[in-house]
Amino acid sequence: MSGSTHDELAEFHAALARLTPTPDGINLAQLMYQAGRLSAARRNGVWRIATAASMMLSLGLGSMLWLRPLPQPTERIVQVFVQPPAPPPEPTPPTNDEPTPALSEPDLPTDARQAGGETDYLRLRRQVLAHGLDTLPPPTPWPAAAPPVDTNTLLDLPKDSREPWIRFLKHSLQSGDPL
Amino acid sequence: MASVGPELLERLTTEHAAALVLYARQWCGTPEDVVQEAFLKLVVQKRPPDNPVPWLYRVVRNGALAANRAERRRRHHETKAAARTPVWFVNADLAGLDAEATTAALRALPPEQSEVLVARIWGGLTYEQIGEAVGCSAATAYRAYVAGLSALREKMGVSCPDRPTTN
Repeated sequence: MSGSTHDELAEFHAALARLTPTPDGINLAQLMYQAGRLSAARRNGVWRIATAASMMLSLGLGSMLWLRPLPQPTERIVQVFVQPPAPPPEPTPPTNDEPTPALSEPDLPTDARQAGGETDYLRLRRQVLAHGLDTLPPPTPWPAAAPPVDTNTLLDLPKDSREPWIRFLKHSLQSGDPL
Repeated sequence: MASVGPELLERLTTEHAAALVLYARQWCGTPEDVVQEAFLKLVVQKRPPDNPVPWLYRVVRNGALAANRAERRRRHHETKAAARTPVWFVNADLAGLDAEATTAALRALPPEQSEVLVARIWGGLTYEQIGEAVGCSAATAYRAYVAGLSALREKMGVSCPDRPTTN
């Protein structure tokens, strides 16, 4: 492009630039109002979306809870094996080399101790618990009482003593009166 | 970056609305609506463009082309719409040019030339900004500008316009 043509175009450009476009016809106040409304709507849109999402979530969870089937009762078969009562063991004579720790307990009855140790006592207890007191064997009678002993011998007193306090003591023991 | 505030919107409207309307007139008969929509699109941008003016020109161009397609679907006879086209300029006496002749000559130009002329002359955009708005390189925009200006001058029969007289 030659210089003269360039200058002519520049002058023509300047002349065109002096032309003023017709007024745009845009109402600035209306534009600002619509811009503010759009901006506010955009800010509210986030909350609308969040509200709608939370509402949908709550509705979904509520419907799931409402439509959930009730738990069905389950039937189970439980088998319990009951062992038959064992036959009473044969009484075994106590042996000296067997340890008998249970016999040393003070609350064991004498019959149990004498009847053959812990095994007999447990067997007796099981029978009582199962069938009652009637199954108890008749009690063993106590050994015969010793013949009455003389008071002097019992108190280790001299036989021919005539001391008054000894006579008072003898009288009290014989009559049962308190001293 | 914050969204477009009212101060920036007012400044852009005051400085560029008229040129944008003229830019949109090349394609559609409702340029004011297209330009207003472009400004509103700028407001609702979460991240405003770094260069809002070329962005506005691009949005106006797309909106005007879309409006043109809608108008073509609505009206079967485009010549009627062209006959009702108003004059695009005022105070032509001050420039020493005929407003109607300039409007007719601009309308007769190819769109790729007329849009570059409007953006360059009345929009004040650089060739880089025109290329950004139109979608071409700055060199292409410059060549379209020179070709369009020469064609316009030839159509108007202006060899060298008279300089305006100032009192």
